[in-house]
Amino acid sequence: MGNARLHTGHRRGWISLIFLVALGTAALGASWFAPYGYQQQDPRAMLLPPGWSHLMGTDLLGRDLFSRMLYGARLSLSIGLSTALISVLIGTVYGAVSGYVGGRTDNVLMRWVEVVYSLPDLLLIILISVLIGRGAIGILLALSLVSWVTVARVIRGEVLKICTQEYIVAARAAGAPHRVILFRHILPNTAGPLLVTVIYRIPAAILAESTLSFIGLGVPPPFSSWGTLANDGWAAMKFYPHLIIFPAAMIFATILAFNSLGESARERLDPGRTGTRRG
Amino acid sequence: MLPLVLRRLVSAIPTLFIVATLSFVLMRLVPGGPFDREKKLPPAIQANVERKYHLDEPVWKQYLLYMGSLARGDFGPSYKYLGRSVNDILREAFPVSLQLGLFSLVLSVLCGVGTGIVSAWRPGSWLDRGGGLFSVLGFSLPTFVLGSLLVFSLADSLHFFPPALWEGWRFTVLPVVTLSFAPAAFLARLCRASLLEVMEKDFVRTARAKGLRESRVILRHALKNALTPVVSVVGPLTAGLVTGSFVVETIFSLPGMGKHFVTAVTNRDYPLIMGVTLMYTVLIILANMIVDLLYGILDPRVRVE
Repeated sequence: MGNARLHTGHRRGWISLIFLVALGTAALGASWFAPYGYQQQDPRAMLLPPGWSHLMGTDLLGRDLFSRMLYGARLSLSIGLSTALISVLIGTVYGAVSGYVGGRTDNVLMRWVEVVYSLPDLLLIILISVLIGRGAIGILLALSLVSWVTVARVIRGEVLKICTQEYIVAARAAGAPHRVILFRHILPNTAGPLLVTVIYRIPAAILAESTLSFIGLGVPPPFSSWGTLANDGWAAMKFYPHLIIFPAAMIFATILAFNSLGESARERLDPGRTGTRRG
Repeated sequence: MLPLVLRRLVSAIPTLFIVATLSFVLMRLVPGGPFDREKKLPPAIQANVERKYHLDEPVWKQYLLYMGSLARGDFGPSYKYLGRSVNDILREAFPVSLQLGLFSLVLSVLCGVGTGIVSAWRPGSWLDRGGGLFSVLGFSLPTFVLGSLLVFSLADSLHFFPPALWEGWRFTVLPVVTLSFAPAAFLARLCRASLLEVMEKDFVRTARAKGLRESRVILRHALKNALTPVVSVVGPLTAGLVTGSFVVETIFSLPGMGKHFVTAVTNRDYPLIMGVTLMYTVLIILANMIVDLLYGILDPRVRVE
């Protein structure tokens, strides 16, 4: 029974991975795959429903939605991936230092993390993006500056756990310097939980970015992420539902795929932390 | 209990002070002022406007003025809505957001804990699978996608509910359901896991050995002990509701704080942005305080302090 559930979990993980790789390829090759230009307007083909010449229909200005979705995938995915990467860089260092040094340093560092963690993430992201400007880079930085605290919490917890292990005590007794203990003995052992956390940070960033864009505080034109497209579609939803259905469905499918991938990675790499026990 | 409440209230003051200072600094660092227009104002008018809002004073003096009026409970004038103070706007917007938030909190706790109990009852059953599907959806379906879906189907097409505004109970259904969905799914997963863990404890075996019915074992013995982790997430949950309210209030055009925050950011209405930020901070601090009190009620071990 438990085994069967585990296997369906892994099958879901594989399906998600294949979906995401296909999506990533499509996004990378957007300029080859897209049948029309990204800004190419056609006044004779405005607000067309999905059909053979326009797979997902066209928008108010006669731009091909399928092509815009492909370019949007490029922006949405790269924001998700880069945010995850930056948060890992900041979060790992911060969490490792906090957990390893301990004592008062740990208290002070973690106090700050708790404050950021307890405030509404979107509130902070919006405030930071007001400060550094709302370009694609500004949004990316704002997302990363909030997202890293989750990584820091996980890493600190892992480091604290590993520090009590006998091989660390042994390394310390053998006179290994802190640098060696931290980088050779502790950090490599956090790889599993770290990877799982990273996978979960990606959909979180994609979600936050598309939400920001949907409420009109995201990347400004001419950029358009899936969230921007959904926001455009929202205005015309009543009469031209295809304009919101495709972006919304893609955002949902992508976040779902990343979450499933994260779950199956967690089952495999970090079994102790599996939140829901399998019956 | 009372000393604990008082101590928490006093310790909230420095936090609020820091948040106020940070948001002041943040807003003053932003390039471009609130009165920058495409077309420049005549210098005399510009000077007048700046004098009216004390923008011509040195920054430290502006800071002292702002903190001084904050201490008296005055958030200052709005830069965008002429002749209206931030207090005025918040007085109208706060009740809307509070209602929305409280209804959603109640609904998500009821649905979440309910789903958690049903799922943990018979792990692996079709009910459990249903609960699992619900939590997967809740984790992956963005609030704005769900909101659009509900507006499109139940408001625009079937006309069951109004698609926007906040003028009676029929108006509350769609926003509250939209806002509660993700928190409910999160609680359901948490509650299921926590119940399943408690169900393996000795006292549950004892209760079963006494011959109690399964419903009584779960509701009477297991649930109370399983709720501790659930209560501990009420703080983050409140934060999540605030985040969701930005979206929900924008989608449904509700005249609440979230909507005002979003428009204030677009308008660069700094006093309003800071006012709303401070209100949210107060809310989060209060929520965390309530959690601590609930902890003491649920788990007597915490009370010793």
